[in-house]
Amino acid sequence: MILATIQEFILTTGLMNMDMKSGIMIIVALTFLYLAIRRGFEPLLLVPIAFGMLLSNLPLTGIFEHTVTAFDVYMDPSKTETSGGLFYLFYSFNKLGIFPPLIFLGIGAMTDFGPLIANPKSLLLGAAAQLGIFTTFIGAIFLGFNAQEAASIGIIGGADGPTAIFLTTKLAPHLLGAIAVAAYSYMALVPVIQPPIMKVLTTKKERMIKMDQLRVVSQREKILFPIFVTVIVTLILPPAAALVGMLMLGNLFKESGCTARLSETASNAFINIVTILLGISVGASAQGPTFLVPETIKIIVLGVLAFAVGTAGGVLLGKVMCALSGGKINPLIGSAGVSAVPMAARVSQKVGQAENPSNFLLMHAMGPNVAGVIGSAVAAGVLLSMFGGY
Amino acid sequence: MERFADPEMIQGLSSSELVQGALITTLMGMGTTFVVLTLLWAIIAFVSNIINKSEGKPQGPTAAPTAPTASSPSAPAAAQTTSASAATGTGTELIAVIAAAIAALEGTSPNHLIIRKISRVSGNSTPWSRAGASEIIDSRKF
Repeated sequence: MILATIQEFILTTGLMNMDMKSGIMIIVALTFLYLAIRRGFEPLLLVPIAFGMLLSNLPLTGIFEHTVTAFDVYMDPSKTETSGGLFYLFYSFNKLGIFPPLIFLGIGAMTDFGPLIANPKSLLLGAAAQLGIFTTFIGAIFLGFNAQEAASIGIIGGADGPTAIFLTTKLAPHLLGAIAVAAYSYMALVPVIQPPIMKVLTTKKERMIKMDQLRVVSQREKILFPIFVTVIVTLILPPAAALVGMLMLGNLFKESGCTARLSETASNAFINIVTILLGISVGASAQGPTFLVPETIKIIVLGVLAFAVGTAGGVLLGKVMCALSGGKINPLIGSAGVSAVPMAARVSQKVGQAENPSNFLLMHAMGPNVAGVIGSAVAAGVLLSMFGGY
Repeated sequence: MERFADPEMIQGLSSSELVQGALITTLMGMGTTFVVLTLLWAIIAFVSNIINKSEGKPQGPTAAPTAPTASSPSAPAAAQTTSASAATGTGTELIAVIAAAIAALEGTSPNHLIIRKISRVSGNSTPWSRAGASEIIDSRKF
């Protein structure tokens, strides 16, 4: 009697229900935790992601159990109605496209578009760095993904986590785990991926170019900027409204001068809360049995390609602009056109300073960097309008 | 293109049709991104121009006194001599500080030093300020 009970209990423990794939994912999660905590790779994102991954791969927790509504039961009587696991409920905010725009609100409230307004040419660099998105799209088509999946994989090259999640939930929700993990991991690896490409594509002389100091931008310009950008981008690309609109609203909170409280909340408590929930749910969506499939490996390979080509696109246009401006623009700022604010700009700064210690490219690189955020949101809007609604 | 965008029908496309679809997407995508951002560039430049013009007029008299201070960093950059900088008033103090710093570095008394000329090595930032700025940039983690 007692023996049978003990036996039954043992069978209900997670240990007895462990499978190979979940085990691998737990090891991956622990590696991420190590990278985040010990090596300092984007800890603010990677810790919640890794912990979500860890918890949802431990067997029998039901923490990522999908919601089954009364309607689902009606359609398929073999199911039973359930509200779903906690992390799945968090995840539904991604699925409904709520979290990414909210993150953008916070990012907008933290971003100073001053360097971009002072040097609007950098918008072109922000556009050129989106090249990675579309070349990866071609690559993904050839690896057998359909257009929706290929678009979601390509957007990894935008180096913009929220945009990648937003687009993927709309076009190819079944790939969300892999794409989000790839996008955020590569964003953390920007300082590793970018410098070799930047050095190969530029000459020492170009890397040493010092740029003129940026002009001072008036408050009126800073207030008008978010309003104009919202109106123009939304008029041309209505599907980008949610992302660009929230980004610019956050920025207006910051710059208007009369909404300091809102701006402070959006850029602190608010974005942190959303980041925690988004991180956990993205991590939790990477469950062994659905995550460890050949597609994931293809996505991870294509993702790094997307980053590399995007960086190259930005640097190459930077070289063109350098030549056209008579050597006044340092092509290194082009690589910052992949969004990844502010890591990519810091990489430009570091690579430039390695050649010429008295060179400060950071503020010049912030221009293309924030332009990249707008650029990848625009690219996402284009892809949504082409491939959405199926 | 319609069949390309439809996940149900893309399987039936030949590889040349796939190439076509992918290339069209790339051209459309990059094209639109460039057009939108170029348009933004034009409008930002235009708006900035108007604002700076309208703000430039009333600020005319107030801008004048700031002009000398703006040009002053370039003045010491151009081979600042002791006699020239003494005229500005703050120069003597600066020379005293530099003399003291050199004396401390050399381990002698400032009385043994004769300063004939002080000139900047390059730019209008010192190695100290550069080192400080890089340190701040390095210490910031997002």
